[in-house]
Amino acid sequence: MDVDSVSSSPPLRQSSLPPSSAPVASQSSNGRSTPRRIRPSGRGSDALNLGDDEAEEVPDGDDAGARRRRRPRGQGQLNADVPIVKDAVGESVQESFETFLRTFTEEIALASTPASDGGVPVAPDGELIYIEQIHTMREYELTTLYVDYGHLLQKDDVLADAIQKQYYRFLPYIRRALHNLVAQYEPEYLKLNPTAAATDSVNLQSREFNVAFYHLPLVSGIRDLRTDKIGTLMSISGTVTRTSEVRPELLYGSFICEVCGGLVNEIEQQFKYTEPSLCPNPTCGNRTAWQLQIDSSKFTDWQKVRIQENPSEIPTGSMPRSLDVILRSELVERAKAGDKCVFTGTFIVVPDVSQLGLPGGNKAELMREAAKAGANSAAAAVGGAGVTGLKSLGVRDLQYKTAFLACMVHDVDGHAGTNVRGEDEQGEDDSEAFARSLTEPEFEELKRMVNSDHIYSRLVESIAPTVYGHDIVKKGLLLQLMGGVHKQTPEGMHLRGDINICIVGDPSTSKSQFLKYICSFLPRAVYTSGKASSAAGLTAAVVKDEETGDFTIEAGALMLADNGICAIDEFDKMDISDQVAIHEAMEQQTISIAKAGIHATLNARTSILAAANPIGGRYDRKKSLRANVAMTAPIMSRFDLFFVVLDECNEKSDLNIAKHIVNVHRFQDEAIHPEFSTEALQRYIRYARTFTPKLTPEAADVLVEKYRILRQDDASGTGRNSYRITVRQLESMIRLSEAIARANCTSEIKPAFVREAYTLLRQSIIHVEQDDIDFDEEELEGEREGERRPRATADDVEESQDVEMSAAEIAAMDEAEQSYNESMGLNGAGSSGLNGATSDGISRAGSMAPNAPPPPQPKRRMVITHDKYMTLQSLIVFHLAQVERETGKGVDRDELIDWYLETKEEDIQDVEELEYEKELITKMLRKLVKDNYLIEIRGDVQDSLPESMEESSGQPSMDSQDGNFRVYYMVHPSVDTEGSSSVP
Amino acid sequence: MHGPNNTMKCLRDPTATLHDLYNDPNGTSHDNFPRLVAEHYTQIFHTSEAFREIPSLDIRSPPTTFPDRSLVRFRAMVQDTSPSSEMYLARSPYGKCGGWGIELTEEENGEVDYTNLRECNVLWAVSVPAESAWCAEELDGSQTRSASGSTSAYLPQHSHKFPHPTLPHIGVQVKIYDTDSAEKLKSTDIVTFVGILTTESSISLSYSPADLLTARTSVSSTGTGLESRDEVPTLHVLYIREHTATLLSRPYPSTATPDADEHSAPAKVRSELISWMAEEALGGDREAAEWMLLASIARVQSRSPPLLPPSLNLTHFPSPSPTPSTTDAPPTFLPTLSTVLAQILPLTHTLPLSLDVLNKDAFVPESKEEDLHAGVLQLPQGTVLLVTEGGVHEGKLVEQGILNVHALQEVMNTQTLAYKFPFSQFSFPTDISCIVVSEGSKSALFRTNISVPLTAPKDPEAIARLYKPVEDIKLPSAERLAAFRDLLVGARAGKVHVSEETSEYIQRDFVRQRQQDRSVTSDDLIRRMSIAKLYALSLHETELTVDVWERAKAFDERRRAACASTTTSSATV
Repeated sequence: MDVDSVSSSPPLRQSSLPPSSAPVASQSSNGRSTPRRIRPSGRGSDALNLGDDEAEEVPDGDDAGARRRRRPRGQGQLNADVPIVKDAVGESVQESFETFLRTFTEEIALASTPASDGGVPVAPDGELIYIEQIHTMREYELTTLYVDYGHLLQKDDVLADAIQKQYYRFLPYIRRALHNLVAQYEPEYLKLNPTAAATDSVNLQSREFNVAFYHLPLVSGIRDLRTDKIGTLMSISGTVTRTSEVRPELLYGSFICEVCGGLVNEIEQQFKYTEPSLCPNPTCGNRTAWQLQIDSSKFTDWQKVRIQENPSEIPTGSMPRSLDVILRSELVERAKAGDKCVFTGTFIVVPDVSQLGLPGGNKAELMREAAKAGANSAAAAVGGAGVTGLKSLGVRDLQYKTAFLACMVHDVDGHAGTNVRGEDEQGEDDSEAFARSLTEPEFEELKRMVNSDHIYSRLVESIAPTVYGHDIVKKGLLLQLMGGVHKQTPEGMHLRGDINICIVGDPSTSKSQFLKYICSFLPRAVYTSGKASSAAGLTAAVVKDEETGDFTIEAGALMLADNGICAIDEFDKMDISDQVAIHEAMEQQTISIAKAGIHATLNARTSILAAANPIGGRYDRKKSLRANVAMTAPIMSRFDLFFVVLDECNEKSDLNIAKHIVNVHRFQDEAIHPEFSTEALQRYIRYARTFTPKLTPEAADVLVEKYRILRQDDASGTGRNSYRITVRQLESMIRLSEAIARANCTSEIKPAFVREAYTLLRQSIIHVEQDDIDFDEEELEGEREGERRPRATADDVEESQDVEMSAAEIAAMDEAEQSYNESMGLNGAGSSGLNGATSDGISRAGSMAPNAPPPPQPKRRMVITHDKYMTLQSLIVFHLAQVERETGKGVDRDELIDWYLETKEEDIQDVEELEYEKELITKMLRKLVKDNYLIEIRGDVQDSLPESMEESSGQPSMDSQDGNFRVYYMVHPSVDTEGSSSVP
Repeated sequence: MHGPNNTMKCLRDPTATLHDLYNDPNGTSHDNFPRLVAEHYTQIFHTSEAFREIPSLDIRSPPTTFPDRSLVRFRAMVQDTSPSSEMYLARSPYGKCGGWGIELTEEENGEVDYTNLRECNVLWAVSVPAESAWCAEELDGSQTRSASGSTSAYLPQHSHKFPHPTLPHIGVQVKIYDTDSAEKLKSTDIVTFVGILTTESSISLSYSPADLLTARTSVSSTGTGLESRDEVPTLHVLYIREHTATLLSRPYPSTATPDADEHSAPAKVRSELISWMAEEALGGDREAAEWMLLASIARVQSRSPPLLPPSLNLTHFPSPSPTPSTTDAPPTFLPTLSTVLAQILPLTHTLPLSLDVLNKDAFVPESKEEDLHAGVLQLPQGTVLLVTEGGVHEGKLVEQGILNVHALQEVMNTQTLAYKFPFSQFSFPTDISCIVVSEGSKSALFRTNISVPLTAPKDPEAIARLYKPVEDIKLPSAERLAAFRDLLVGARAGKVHVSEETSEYIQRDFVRQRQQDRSVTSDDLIRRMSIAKLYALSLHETELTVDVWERAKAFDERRRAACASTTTSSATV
């Protein structure tokens, strides 16, 4: 028993061991220990599933005692000479674990050199991290060794498995292994007070050491804890709801017999107050009268925390489960209320002694009473204290409680480990872990989804199935659910991966439905209304606790939605000052509080899905997005995507909407057949989120190019942007590309994904602002070149183009001055180079063709969608560029119109349509000129210049000049055909 | 085997039958004994006669009137499922049956085989809130044992766990050994527990070893980990009997054929019911009574897509005229409507709002110290909630009040109620049809789907009639009353089919309207659709016909016109 002798020292004041797992029992200490012995029961299986076959009987085995002792009531008071089971497996675990600690280095390949066999710590090149840690423990006076379970798995998976499966059984051996190592490397550190040891051996105090495991591959929820998990090593995660004060816990008690005055040492406490059951003095026979000797008993720090299930793990409609976690020694005060923590340790069952506590009574007294009652019954002598005789206390049947004995606790870092959204830096590893958590059919379904074609568009169709149409918004929502990749720069700056979306639109379109869908879809989503919530309600408030007077921080919606989505309805109704308050949350993903002496930065890693009503109730297409929404530009720029949903009065869509609503009422859920169920979608998204997509070089090139185009559009002023295109939009595009890659379950961002991201971005931020191109509206703003052609007016859109100037036209004159000034400035900047037309247009010819046929307009209003405008623009520019390259000349206007009408020939069915198209192209050309895509040459180059000068004054006379000039068009020098023609 | 003798024995000594069952040589396996128990007892009390033999635990016969370990049935609403489950010894060392509060004698108690430990679920159940008297009577049957003398003295424990603590109720700790069936129980579910009634210490908080230890070492251990634990009635469940969603069951469509008996045709009954409601509670306003009828048969049809009951606001409902005698304390008069609804609906509750109620009462259940305190809105699925704003006067609404208003609004909008737990809150589905009665042209506090102005005479006498006491209500004949109830309960459970033809019609109708008037939106269609379906339900029609659609539409249009005429400015819809 040389191992035992190390710690079977006289009573110690301080101990950090859980009593039940102390490696060494007390009884070797000077023969005065109590006749307390574990009954070597024939029952082979206890809660730890110990088999008798793996244990041999030896006359004396404190080891076995240690493991048997976990039965709170199984410990009998039997004769000392009854043979006790010795756990041979335990011994070998101890040996292997010791070897592991002795030899482990990060470089696994080097660790298995033959020289390391002999138990001699032959250090390979790598650092012996655990030996180092033992030295550090001494330096900083720590008693806990932290062991990465991953290392254990890597080095010795048999050992790792054994420890995991029967943690409670092997715990004493693991600790003894550590003890031995400390004895070897830091022998001085074993004793708490080495100098005093020489003089006073009774008070010599030895340290108790703990081993804390962390990084277990799987983290379970509280709900998963079942009786079959008892005694195994596992990690659970939960939110700490309250913590007890730190108190001393009695590990080993020393008692003085009140009858004969004898001292009884090292009475191990088993989750309850345990007195010696019989005085060792053969003549005494005292069973009940004991006095605890506080100075010679061993105590440890003890704290109990209550944890509650994480919101994401609770099945719908169920209440959160709670569990007690016992923290000891150095782990106390590590977990604070409100923290989301992961605890590693073991699930245990303990008798519910708290039942014995009756209000107002002296509990210890009652315990003693109970013990007395038990002692009086001969048959109950085995029970020790506190179990028998309960009846006299009014307890009917003893109940058992579950608790979690933790050896390690750490905060959940938001984006690692057990993130609710399954986010993890470790990529593939984690997706495997997620896949493992699925049932077979779920896994099969997921596999089918991942491997199927066009998964992206099919997923989009399954999003928010109750809402009819609005596919582009659904796309955005899907990407928001997928999210981009969170990154951290080497300087430690966090780059958000969350995608913020704002939906703007007319009342009673489906904005709120989208928001509600997201909230029902994602467990960690909070729905709130901008009208009802102040900034404090959204972010966090400092609240004074009325009882204690302490200030505490109360979580707001954004914090509640940490790692989820915060859906804010009626965003525009929020005070501007409140909108500003969430700036920080949107970009930095944190919330700072400085109030009542509290300075705190709290995590709010949430995506924001906002819905806003336009100013004045309806979206005014004539105005820019910015003018339509009551939002400041900085806030707007923090949204990655803006969507405008309009209440279009259109017979066909009305019918579709009606059909949709009626069907919902007719068939309820059967009316909506999303291809994938909500659950399947949730699983897919969780799986997809395990990917961390990276840009391929080709995709990076595309990204750069697209960004350049965006910037250029911005700079050239073609888009009436609400805000400038900045790096923020570049980041948005990266995030969107990442999300698209995730939606496709791949970790490579392909050029196609970037293109899709670009399209989305254009369609939202740019398209939306430009909105539909309303030529009638355009004309109100005046023309740059002052060119006058017969055309329809804003008031009279149905008429053909042969209409003379109308009153509206004249009204436009007012604006002309202003736009003239603007365009002159731009023109000066743009016309410096003449190379624009030469770049390759041919390669893009294919991509343009499918876009060409525009959908017939419901009414012959001179409005086309921005998409169509861009298509036409690239068509014309490309054509002109080609002609220019071939002939070096511009194209005559009439020729150009004819050419255009030819390309449209198939779509034009009647004269009316022909007229429409003709008018359209005319206006189109005019707009292109105005926007510096084309230059207009009248007769010859010289003629065009003076005309622009006379614009502001000479309007009324322009029409008369019309017939006298042949008008040519050329591509404006500043236009890059690559850029403008790549519009999808 | 399951003869009357067996039933009698079960009733007399449930513990003994439990032992018998455990030791039954035929029952070879004890693997899932709790399941076996549940099946066994379900079998024994299968017939409703046998079931009625089991004494009912209710307000008239509270726990104190039963001897220890009696077999009782308890129709209850599940209030709190958050307590941690308990472990119990399923088999004593001598092979006896454990659990169900069975005492193990001292000899057996000595040693524990941990493999025999099993889990049992603990929850808290209360008598069904908002249950009308007639419904309780029908379910409980004619009670032979009525210790009516002593009942008023019964003081329920843990009354903070009942949504309306001031009303008489019973709260019981329930232990369920068949964990599978326990997992299915959710908050606000109504079930009948059949089990053995004992008294035990309440839901225990947790184990706390050091509390005992430090009792020796430190003096100040009061109130730290151990809560005061009083003895509470505990029901050890043998089996659980479920109820239909409407609690009572009535045929839909009503069995009476229109031509066979003109008198009992649904349309006739409906019309009579409307007249009666209008006459007794609404100053003769049949239109409002009809809306009231539709609102009280509305329920959640589907959550995804959301087809929720529309909330109704009855506007221009005069406040009670202050009676001279009680001037200092503003009395909260309940409108007669409240009593009338209670006469015809199985589950209905009236919530008289006042600033005091809003600011002080908890509407939302909140977990404090690991104990879920009930909130006013923790009501069973299918409750019709009448909210009166008449008692709200000028004053300040504090934070609690705002949260309460928000919670009720949330129930109206989404039929979810967010329970508060430490550091988080969770939404639980509700199914509460809300009717708000307000004095102004619209509700002061809530946004509802539909508002209906009450067009009744506003002279003091007429107002007094709206608040007339229960005694003055003229109840129809028992037979008619039963017919009213049948109509309503049946309609609540009914289903209306929308045919292809009708839907075509509705769609065309909508498109045409949109073309005529751009202000018609899809929301209008959604509202009309649900109104039309409720209209059909109230007629006990199985199909939504074009005729009913047009009638419902006209009905809705009348309401909108009335709204527009009574308010110059903003009619809600």
